[in-house]
Amino acid sequence: MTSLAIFHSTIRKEEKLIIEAASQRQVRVKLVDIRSEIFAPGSYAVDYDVALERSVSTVKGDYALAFLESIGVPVVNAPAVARACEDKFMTSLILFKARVLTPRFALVFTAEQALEAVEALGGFPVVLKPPLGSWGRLLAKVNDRDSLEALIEHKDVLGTPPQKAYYLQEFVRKPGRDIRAFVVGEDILCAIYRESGHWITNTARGGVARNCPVTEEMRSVCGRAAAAVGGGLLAIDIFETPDGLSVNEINHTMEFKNSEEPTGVSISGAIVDHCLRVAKKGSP
Amino acid sequence: MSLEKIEMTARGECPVCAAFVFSASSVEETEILACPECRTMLVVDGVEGSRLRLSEAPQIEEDWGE
Repeated sequence: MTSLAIFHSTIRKEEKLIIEAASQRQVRVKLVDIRSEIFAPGSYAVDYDVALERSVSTVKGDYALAFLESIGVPVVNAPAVARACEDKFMTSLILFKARVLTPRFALVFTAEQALEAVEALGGFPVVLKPPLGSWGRLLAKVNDRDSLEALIEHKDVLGTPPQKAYYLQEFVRKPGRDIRAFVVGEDILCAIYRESGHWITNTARGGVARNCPVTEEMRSVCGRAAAAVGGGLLAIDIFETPDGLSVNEINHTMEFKNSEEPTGVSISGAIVDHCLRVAKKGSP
Repeated sequence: MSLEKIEMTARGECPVCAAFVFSASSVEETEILACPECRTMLVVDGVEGSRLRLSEAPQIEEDWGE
């Protein structure tokens, strides 16, 4: 019987769905609270075939993946994929280099440079985001110079060091929704529209999930975006634009509790199946 | 006479307002529950049989998410 370790910091609905899917596949599950671990080589005992990293803390998850990979444990996702996806600026660079359509972006460290960058991004409004962040938190649609200067001053005075790297993105006018595509490996599994009257469409911020039929364009864009960051279990956020589907960002420890019902797809089952393949192969 | 399926539940006490907090018996340690009375977010520190040990859930930190 294959054994799957789920590294977690809190058991969410997603983790419970994964546990259930593993049980249905006769996969033995070991729940590992990441906060209780001592990651020291030479003395760390491994009694499972593959590790799935599901910590809600990006930093803790990164260290866990790096350590486990270093001692030869098959891990999901690969540490390099996590690093590529966790920082929005890094993800944008990778997508740009891979010629995957993505909103124009810039990273600056001062208000003066931010103003210059806004011109290159097509003028106001622009979106100011923390490079490291999730759930639609601390996003700002900046409509004018006064707002930009105030936001940057607040971040400069009140923010932690990561908050003082100002990631700017052109504001994309969405048709009241965006798309989240779920990818396994480099293949799209299913997708949802996230509909909202607000420009922030995260379901964590009230966006409503509805099934989104997978098109050939989506298949192509997601395949290329996933390949660019290294493939794995990914949730790719996409804007519909006049120039085509544009990849906004990629998430590497995807949440999907609102997506199984509208799509009719067992995303949790696909996750477990992917982990089993990684266990068999010995690497992601 | 029909036999109704009895769903097993676990019970704990909210550390903030002392209300009873119920969950399915399949609840796992580190799961987050909301107190039905004061709505405080609680974390399951332990499950002993049908008894839950609860404390206030940690605040969301900067690097939390997906």
